Amino acid sequence: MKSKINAIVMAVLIMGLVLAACAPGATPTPAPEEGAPAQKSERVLRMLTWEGYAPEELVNKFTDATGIKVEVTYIGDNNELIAKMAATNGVGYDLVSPTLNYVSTAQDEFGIYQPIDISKVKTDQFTKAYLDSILEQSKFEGKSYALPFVWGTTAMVVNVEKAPDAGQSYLDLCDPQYEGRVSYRAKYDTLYMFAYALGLDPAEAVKDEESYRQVMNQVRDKLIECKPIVRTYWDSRQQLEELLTSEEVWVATSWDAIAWTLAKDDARFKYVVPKEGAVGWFDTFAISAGAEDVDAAYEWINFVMDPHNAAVIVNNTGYQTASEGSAELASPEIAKLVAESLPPEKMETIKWYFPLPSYATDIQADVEEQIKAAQSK
Amino acid sequence: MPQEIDVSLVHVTKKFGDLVAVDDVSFEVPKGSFFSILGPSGSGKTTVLRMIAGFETPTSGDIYIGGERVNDVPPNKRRCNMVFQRLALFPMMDVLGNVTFGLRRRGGMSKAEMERLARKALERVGLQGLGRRKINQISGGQQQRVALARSLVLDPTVLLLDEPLGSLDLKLRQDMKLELKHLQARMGTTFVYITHDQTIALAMSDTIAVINRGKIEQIASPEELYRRPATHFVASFVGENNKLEGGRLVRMRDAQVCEVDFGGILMSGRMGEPLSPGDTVDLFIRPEMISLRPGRHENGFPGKIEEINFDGSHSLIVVNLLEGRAPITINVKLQHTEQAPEVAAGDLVTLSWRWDAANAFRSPTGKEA
Amino acid sequence: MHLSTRFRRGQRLWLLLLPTLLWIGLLFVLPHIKLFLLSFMDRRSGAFTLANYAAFFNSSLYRNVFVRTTTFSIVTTLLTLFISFPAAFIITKVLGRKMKALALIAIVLPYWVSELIQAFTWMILFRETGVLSYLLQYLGITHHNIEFLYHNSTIVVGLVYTSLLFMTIPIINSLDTLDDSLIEAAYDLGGDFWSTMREIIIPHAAPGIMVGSIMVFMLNLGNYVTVTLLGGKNSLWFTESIYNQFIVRFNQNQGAAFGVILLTFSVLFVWIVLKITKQDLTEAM
Repeated sequence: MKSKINAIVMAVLIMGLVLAACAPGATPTPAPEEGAPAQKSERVLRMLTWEGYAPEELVNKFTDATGIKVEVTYIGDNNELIAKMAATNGVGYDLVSPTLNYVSTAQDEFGIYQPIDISKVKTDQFTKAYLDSILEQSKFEGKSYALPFVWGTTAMVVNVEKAPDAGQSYLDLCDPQYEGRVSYRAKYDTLYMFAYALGLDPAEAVKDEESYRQVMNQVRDKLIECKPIVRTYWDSRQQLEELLTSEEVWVATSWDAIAWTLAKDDARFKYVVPKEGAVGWFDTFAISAGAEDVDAAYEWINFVMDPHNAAVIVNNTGYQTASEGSAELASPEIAKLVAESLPPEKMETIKWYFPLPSYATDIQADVEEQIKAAQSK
Repeated sequence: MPQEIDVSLVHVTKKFGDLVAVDDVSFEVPKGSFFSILGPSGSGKTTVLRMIAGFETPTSGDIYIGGERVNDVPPNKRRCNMVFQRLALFPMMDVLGNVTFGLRRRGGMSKAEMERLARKALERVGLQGLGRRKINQISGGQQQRVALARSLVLDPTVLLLDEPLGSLDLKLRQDMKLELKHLQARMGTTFVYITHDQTIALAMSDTIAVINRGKIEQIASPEELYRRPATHFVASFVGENNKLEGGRLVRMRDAQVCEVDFGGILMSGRMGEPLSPGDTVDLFIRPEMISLRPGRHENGFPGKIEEINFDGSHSLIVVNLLEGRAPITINVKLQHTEQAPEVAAGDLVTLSWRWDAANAFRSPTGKEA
Repeated sequence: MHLSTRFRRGQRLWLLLLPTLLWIGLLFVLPHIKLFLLSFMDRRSGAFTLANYAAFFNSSLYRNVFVRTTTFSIVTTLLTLFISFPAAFIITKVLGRKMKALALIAIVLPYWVSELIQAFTWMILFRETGVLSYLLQYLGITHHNIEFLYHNSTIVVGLVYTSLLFMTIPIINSLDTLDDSLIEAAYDLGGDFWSTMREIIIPHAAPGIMVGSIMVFMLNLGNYVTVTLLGGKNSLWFTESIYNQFIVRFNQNQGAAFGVILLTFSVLFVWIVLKITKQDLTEAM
């Protein structure tokens, strides 16, 4: 009898495994096409980037034009990217897309990138202000390690029917009248928002370990104080969308693209930039220290930053790019929403992510854990 | 003085779906007696026992223990205990733990008192000093005794035994058989013992009920059962027998004795059931009741020894009768006494038996040989 | 001749064991040695240090998270046992053949989907605008939405659910070897339901209960997905702290120390429980 039960259990488990194996799995790397190779030494560009940053449309176009094949691996967050690169000192990837604030720190700690050779870049395709700024901010020991690529902002999304007055300040996320109807990430972007809302300047304080710890501790105390107000810390785009559409949450922090996508179909939702300004992030191009085909990487950069091509990425992701003129070429629908939420005067208040020394990552992680560990109702 | 009855079944029937496992069974077990239920496997004897113990409920009929109707009394409230076929000792406890289990359930006495009673019960079955042994550290025979002690310590009105000797080897079974009988006699507890092994039943019982296909065939003392079986089934199931099939009843000598024709040979026998001339009957003759004389004699059936099987205290001699139209073979059990004749295969002999050594029953097939 | 066949048979036995040895060696022993060594290294210099362990014992945050995690794991293991044992008992001793097979399939079926999907299913069920809340209003028990998600009890419910199989199957296996006549004998000798349970059935099933409890306790201690998805804002679990050390802070030395602490504690805990219940690990497994 015992063996009979074991047999049944085994059978059911095996059937389950078979089903799981048959289910369509995520295969991020498109299989290289089998064709007659033109040359003996086939050129391949291996990228580590975010979903939507290398759409198939552009990859095919690029391969047709240059004969260079493209292999893409997707990442979920910057830490994963650095962990992958640090494991092999960059060997295995040519071109990666880290967020700006991680570039110089990672270079300092792991040496995974190589300096940008600006002579190989068609600089006139870039919005000049972004190009200059990123080259400057990605400097380590006098050399620049990144080029601007895609940018976006984080501010607030508000259900205008339920909370018409919310969105003036990030401190609205602590307002008792929205108790249980608030959500944000227990992550660095929220820490920055609250720092600015409390009248602190983390971008300045980060230059010194002790002062940054003081700033972050103040933010931590505020967030722990506010913990009874928050419903839950959101983690993923899908989770935030569900919380908002079910109206379980009325006021939340949000990436602009998530809010715009929601607002496009549903008038209840609005992306609002409070008086402290949106928090801005920049994803960049960086060349791996272990790159095998550096020229292919530059060819891709020059290709993608063509405004016609960059527009494809804008449409794909909802984010903006550093390619001059790409916004106008993208869909007018999104361009309109962008213009509404981020008019020139709001653009000026954007608080860009600042480079993080390694102690800053630790301080932020400490604070994040302390906030999460604090028990509240 | 009317005899006191410990267990009685009144028209008890048990059905499992369409299957009638026990069919209108009634019997009474007098106090202090050793009562056996004998039957082949599948005859319903286990179901009868489980109904007395309370593990099955009769479909109809009543069961009484100690004069009290127990149909609705759960097994843990009945004044009877059971020794299971596979003993069902508790391996998670030591010997003493097993024996005190029932006392602990009953409660109302100190731990020391329970252990005293348990040790006394163990002594009674010859297991003094083994109380702290684990169940898997004692022999099969010892386990048997623990199972007995575990039930007897509760001083039940009736002890039910589900063929507990079946798993022992032959020698041990012979010893335990006697011991069990002595134990029962000493304690005076009523035993209800079920078995398919007629040698055990015959040796130990005061009364035997033979059961077949859910029906009681005969209830009688072992000797009565052996000498005067009541049915064709009992005659063929109990004891060794020569079974001569398909004779024709020629005439009846008196109310008890008939004469049967087997292919020209006329044999007399006791009528086990009412018969009339012309009936097709089977005749059962006990091999040890047949006398064998060397040579040809009057008053007997001449035959030739086919083979001799030596078996220690006796020999089994196979004899072919000479005068019949069809071959008839009869086994004779010859005790090796001083008077036993010297015979060899091929010898001419004469067989004879008293009329009441042969029992005649109507042939169930009705076919004449 | 005799010697050589014996030798060859021994060799063949080793060959049979080889995949297991390789598996354990490469995927378990080696990484754990590496983890152990890392935990004693300074993050930057690589020199020997106890600082990574000191960091754990000096931080009330990590200590609290650790205590919280183990407390929850123990509570969940006990709850799982209380639910699984009756189920296992009914499946092995009460149900008929067909029902038994059906019940087994019903127990195994939910594990066809991944833990992640299970957690999402619970979220759909438990959220304020979810199925349970709707059902209660439909039945007129309440008149407004109720949030069942993001409570400590939600974590427990989720963990119990993901653990049930791993508790039930070992208990079923051990109860299956219990001769029914033992239960009958206990009744026959005057035992009732509880005394038979206590003295016969539970002692017999103890090895299965032990195996199930050890597995479930370990699974809960190491859980990540269910806890973070169902627990909400107060749900920091020790595994998340380990994850943070490795992935967010790039401090694999600190992470390794946490890992070693978790492993040491769970082995110690299991050992103590085995001692207390007088079970033998070889017997239990």
